[in-house]
Amino acid sequence: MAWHKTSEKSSDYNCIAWALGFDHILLWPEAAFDMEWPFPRPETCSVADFAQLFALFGYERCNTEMYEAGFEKIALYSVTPNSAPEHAARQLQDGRWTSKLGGGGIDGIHDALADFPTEEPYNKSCRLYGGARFFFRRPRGQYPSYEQATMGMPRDAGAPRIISVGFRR
Amino acid sequence: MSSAVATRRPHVDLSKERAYADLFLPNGPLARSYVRNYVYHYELPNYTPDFLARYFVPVFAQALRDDTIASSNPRAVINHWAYAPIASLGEAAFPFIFERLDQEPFVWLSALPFLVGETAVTPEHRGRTAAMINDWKLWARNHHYLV
Repeated sequence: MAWHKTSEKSSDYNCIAWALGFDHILLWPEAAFDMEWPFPRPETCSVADFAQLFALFGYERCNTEMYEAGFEKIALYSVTPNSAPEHAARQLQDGRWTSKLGGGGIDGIHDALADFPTEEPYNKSCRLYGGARFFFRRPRGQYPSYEQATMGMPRDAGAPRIISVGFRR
Repeated sequence: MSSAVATRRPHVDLSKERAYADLFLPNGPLARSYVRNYVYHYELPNYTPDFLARYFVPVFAQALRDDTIASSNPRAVINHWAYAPIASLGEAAFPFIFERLDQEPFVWLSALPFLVGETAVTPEHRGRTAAMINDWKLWARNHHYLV
């Protein structure tokens, strides 16, 4: 039961991208932020948005995190079943899990879904993940890169969004 | 006789709040200038937003970075207690934020659209950290927040 760090801090990718096997992109659906999302971006996000993304890469919903030979799995964490997801982890071939901590943290391998670093500063914010509540799986194999999978998909127009909480009220 | 119950919040780290409060201690930079102004002018000092931003942005930025470093949800940044005082500084905080953009990019790339009220990131650069930083720095130079 432990966490093993496997890389230094990076801001190039987040846990969602790392769960899909990418290390060059920040993925998040909410329209208010400037993160990449291959579908029209919603105002608030839910598990359904992430299920849509995972389906693009061959994942389907499954009921359990238990290791299944021939499949790779993603676990999605949230505080409550209806709240926005907070974290994602990917199952490795040996049954352990790998995840990237946040948009600016380290990544590592953990034996169980609830194993996270116990040292500062990660111990505090890892408590905010809630629990692993949703699971997805796909057969192990070769899958297209992010750019190949999302090529030609319609995007938001990209007009500046005026959000009424800045200094320009 | 009422029994005194010691309240203890084991999961709350008060070190950042203490760092903030230390600015006002008798040896802190704000308290010193407060006393000086009070003695000579007999009125409360009127700190300019630029003066406050110079001291507060680094303090709040460290709290934001440490508390949200493991969060992929960018909403965690703008929901954090240290985001509100930075937002309240308004435009005065921008030069110090853009100086720190390379140090904690996820924090500021998440917060800037809300602080500014618009986004500088082009649709094709979304999610690409280096390109997003360049877009925001270009915006900052065009608006004279960065030289």
